[in-house]
Amino acid sequence: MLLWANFLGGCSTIPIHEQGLATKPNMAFGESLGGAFDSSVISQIEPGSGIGNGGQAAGCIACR
Amino acid sequence: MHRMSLIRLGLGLILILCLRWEALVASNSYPEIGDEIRSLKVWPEGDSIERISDGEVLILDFFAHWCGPCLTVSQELSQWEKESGIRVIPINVETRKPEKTIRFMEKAGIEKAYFDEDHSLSDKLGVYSLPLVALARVEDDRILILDWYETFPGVSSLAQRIDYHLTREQSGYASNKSDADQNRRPAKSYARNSSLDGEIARNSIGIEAVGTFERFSSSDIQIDNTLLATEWNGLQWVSAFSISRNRSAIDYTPSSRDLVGQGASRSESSDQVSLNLERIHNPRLSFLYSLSIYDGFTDFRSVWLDEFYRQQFEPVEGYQEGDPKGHSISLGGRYEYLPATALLEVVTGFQFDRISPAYEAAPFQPLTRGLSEVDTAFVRASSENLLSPRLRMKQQLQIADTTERDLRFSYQCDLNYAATESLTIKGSLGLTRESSAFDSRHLGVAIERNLAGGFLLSLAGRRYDDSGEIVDPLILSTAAPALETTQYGMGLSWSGERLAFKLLAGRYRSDYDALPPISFQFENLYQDRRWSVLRWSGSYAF
Repeated sequence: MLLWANFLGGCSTIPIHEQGLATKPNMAFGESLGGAFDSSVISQIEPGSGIGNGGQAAGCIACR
Repeated sequence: MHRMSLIRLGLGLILILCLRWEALVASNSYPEIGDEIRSLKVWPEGDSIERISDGEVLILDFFAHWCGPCLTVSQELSQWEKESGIRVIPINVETRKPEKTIRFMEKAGIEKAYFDEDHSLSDKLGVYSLPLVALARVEDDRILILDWYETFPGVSSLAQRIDYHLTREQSGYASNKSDADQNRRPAKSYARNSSLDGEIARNSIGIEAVGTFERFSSSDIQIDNTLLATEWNGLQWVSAFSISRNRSAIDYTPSSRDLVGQGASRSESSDQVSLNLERIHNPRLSFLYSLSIYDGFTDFRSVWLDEFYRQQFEPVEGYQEGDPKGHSISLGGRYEYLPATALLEVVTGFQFDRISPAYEAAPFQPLTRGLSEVDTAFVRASSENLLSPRLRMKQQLQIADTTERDLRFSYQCDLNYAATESLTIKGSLGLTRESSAFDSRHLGVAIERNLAGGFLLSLAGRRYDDSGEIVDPLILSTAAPALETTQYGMGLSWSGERLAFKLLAGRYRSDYDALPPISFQFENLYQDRRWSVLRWSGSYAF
């Protein structure tokens, strides 16, 4: 799915003189949704949220 | 079995990236640009460019008013031109909003700029990102690109490169004009790879310090997360070092049907140290390494459960106080498969967690301790694309294999849409699936509005729901029932030349389904809550 979406959407290069809007500082993905939900705390509450590293993103590892 | 397969898959993808890169670099070349440079016009008047003499060294400085880093580069180059006499040709690629370009030129000290009227120069050179500086030389009426910098190395390095090329010519090494390979080398790699000739100084591009504080508070739980980080951006390495503390303070309240437990206040912290390194092999390809170590309770649920088991079983032989800690290591690669517009990143890694275990007691049986050490292997692939002049997309897919659990697949797609120069709309969609036992979805939207004076106002909302972690409702389990959450908030940020800050406040509600009767002891852990959210962050670029 990822590769297919890339194939559909990511194979054309936008000329530099058309990149003015796309290169606005807040268009970068360093922070998604304006930083509103880039929260390490939310993943403590929502077991399916966040794509982090390892066990912390694997849900209830202590559950039985 | 799964773990080894995941690691093999990750390493395989990284290998494919490397091979693909080699193939592309082999075909990388830079053409002569004599006609295109001579067709440059003075901006905005439209006069033709002045005569360019044979033997002259030129610095081409591509810029646009909306390119923040271009300002520093153009300032340095225009100052250097006055001091050194080396001819700098500032080339404006954005002809809209001329008043902004004039302001840019005034700030940068540019007295005269040129523009590429029909984009023939930028098209022929393949200019897809800014800032961009090229070193060129006029030879026999041809203009040849010698070096190409997507990351500006500083004027001292430029001066070294000019001396280097002139020395080569004087020694006869480059005087053979038919030796086209000298001008078709993958000169882009000069920008960051000093190993080619050892003459580029490893200049520091910048250092940034970041601090973040976040608080989630409800009637019985307060979670504080504090992070201090510094990032060093060099020509060949980008390194980020961070220390963080997560503090969970809970008012523990046992179930009204719990005959042993009693209310208690408890506060636990976890401290984490992380180091992330990015080795810039060339402007297209980077290798990524990360190491992280933590000590302590990383989340409020483990604190709540640890307190529960402590009260239930502390006097019983076999009980051990929880001492959670862990570490993780990962490596990967990032490849920019379309210049400045599309990249693919693959990371694979391993995490070890020592957790505070659950306990089970049966009549006339010794205390049974649950799982206390957990291994996780994961592979994560992500991509970023510029789908149109207004739309950016980021996707991430992660597969994780954790001890005694099925494979977990997580997918997230973020879209950023520039509606106007001052209005940006952002969307995020996430899906997680773990066999048939667990599913989750989340969807979020944010609207950002640029205000005067460098301020940015954002409004955001998000909704999450999952199927719950409980596999068998007839077995006593600490797993969470189905959860729905809603969040909304408002943020204000400000960015200056070096300093930036962001403040966000909002509300968050988490609503659980009812627990199975057998798991009644955890009803206060999984109660509905209304949270207040506060997040502050600031950064300073040195």
